[in-house]
Amino acid sequence: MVERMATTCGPLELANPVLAASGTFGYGDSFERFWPLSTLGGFVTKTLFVAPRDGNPAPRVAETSAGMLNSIGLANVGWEAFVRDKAPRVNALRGAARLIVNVAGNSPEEFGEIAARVEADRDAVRCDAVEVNVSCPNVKEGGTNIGCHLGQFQDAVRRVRAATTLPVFVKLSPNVADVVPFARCAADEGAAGVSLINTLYGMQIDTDRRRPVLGTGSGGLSGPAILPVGVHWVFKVRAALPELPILGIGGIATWRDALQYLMAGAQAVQVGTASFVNPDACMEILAGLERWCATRETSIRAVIGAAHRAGEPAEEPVWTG
Amino acid sequence: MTGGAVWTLPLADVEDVATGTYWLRFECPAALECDPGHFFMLSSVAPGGGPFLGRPLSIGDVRDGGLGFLVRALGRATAWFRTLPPGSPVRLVGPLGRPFAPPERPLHRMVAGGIGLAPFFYLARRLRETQPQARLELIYGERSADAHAPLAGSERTLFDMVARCTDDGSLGRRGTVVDALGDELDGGDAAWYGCGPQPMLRALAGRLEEAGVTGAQFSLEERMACGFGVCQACIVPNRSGAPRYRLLCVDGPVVDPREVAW
Repeated sequence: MVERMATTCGPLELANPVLAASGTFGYGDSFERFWPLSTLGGFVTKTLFVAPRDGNPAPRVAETSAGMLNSIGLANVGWEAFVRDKAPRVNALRGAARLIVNVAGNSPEEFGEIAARVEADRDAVRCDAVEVNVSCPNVKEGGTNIGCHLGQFQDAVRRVRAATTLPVFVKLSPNVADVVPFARCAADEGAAGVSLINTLYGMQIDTDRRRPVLGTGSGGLSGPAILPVGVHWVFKVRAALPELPILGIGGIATWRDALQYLMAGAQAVQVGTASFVNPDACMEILAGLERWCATRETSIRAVIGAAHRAGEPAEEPVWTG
Repeated sequence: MTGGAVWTLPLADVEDVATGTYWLRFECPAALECDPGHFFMLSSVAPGGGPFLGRPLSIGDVRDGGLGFLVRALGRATAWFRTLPPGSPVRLVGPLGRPFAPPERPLHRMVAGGIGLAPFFYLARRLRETQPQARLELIYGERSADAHAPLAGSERTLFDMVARCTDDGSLGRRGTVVDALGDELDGGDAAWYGCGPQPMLRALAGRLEEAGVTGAQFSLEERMACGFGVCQACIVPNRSGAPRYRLLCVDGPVVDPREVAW
């Protein structure tokens, strides 16, 4: 039963394929009131910089038809406070759940600096991997400028890779004409895998005020609206780089959404925005996947990449409710 | 931080009380304990069944086994809740936030602007139980008479005095609730509570500060996606500047107005 749910994403052995995504799960202890952290396959911290950040002015979120825009601006407590205040508590709670720290900087050099801090504190933090946020669209000097330009992207990943021996996952931006060259670059630079996708650029205008709703004008679109975009890019990256481990992200709100990512070629998924609306989203997705696998007498590992296997006969649909 | 859990509750009934304003009521599960000033995030259970994000609503009243929210249809979600037929399942996450912490005082004054009336029924009900000798006053303003909630039946008897005002003078005194306070803030022993639109609260905070009133408790509102400290959307500028912002969902929604950079 449990073995059915296990999966492997590069160097990460996961008890199940459901992870909580960066920026939607705090530092790991925010959902303890709802369910035990140890039930997750893993979780990714809010993006950490070396120094704390206040973030952007309000309004920071806007609802859209099937999702939301955000311009939080990578507000975070800074690396030192994370190590001191958050990591011990999270480690006491997490059991077998994998801890992935998400990091960023305002320049390729800063990416190297934060990775060096992670490496220096690895005994204290006991994280299983580093996720590199090169793709947050909210920070003028870093974020997308790095994630959308192959030269800077390569520079940042290389500096992170050089500074730590922990497995490195690079979180890719969809705000490019083709994500595949970025995935290939990450692989060539020694990344253990890629996480995709981050948010898409978006803007909402308040037609009464005739001004953008968000304090920063534009923000990042997330939620069910971006599900097909994420599935598309996971499929494309898997097709081009079948050996590269993938953490699938983008708009997952139900277990069927998660299954789409697994079938597109992700070894595990990250649930993000859905947890804001329904704090039980991760648990419901996990239960749905378990039920689905049990009904079909199959396993998570068996369905990974299934959508690529065009030579195999498609299964008859089985109604599972 | 407070607790909070995910509840799926069938809508018990919807009752219109004034133009655009209605009670949204649920049967209150026995295990659900909450205090005046707490809030819930209310959202559609089915993905795509309603507006995507939840909405933070202050607890309006808890009585007779029911949990009520006083809501004004001002946007997409607050209009949508109004259309739900009884029996519709709604997701409620909560109780969330930091509630009112009423001090022991002979007089409690609640100043409400518009739908800022919402948290005061339950606060008054609680004060009736915990401080039966105390005098409870409500100063309640709306733009015009049609928006005024009538305070029917037991709602009315919660307060020893209700002073109504309207911007256009169509009901009660003409002017804002802050005008209605007059020049002298008598009753130095009063505990003060405020809830309403930001300009009203800013003005009220100024008046209370001039008068040397300390310990006032305001229930604020901000856009938020989660309600429990994760999305980091609901920032309130902090008067001391360190930290620069506080999160309304965990450090509020009830705050000391002197701590806010209005």
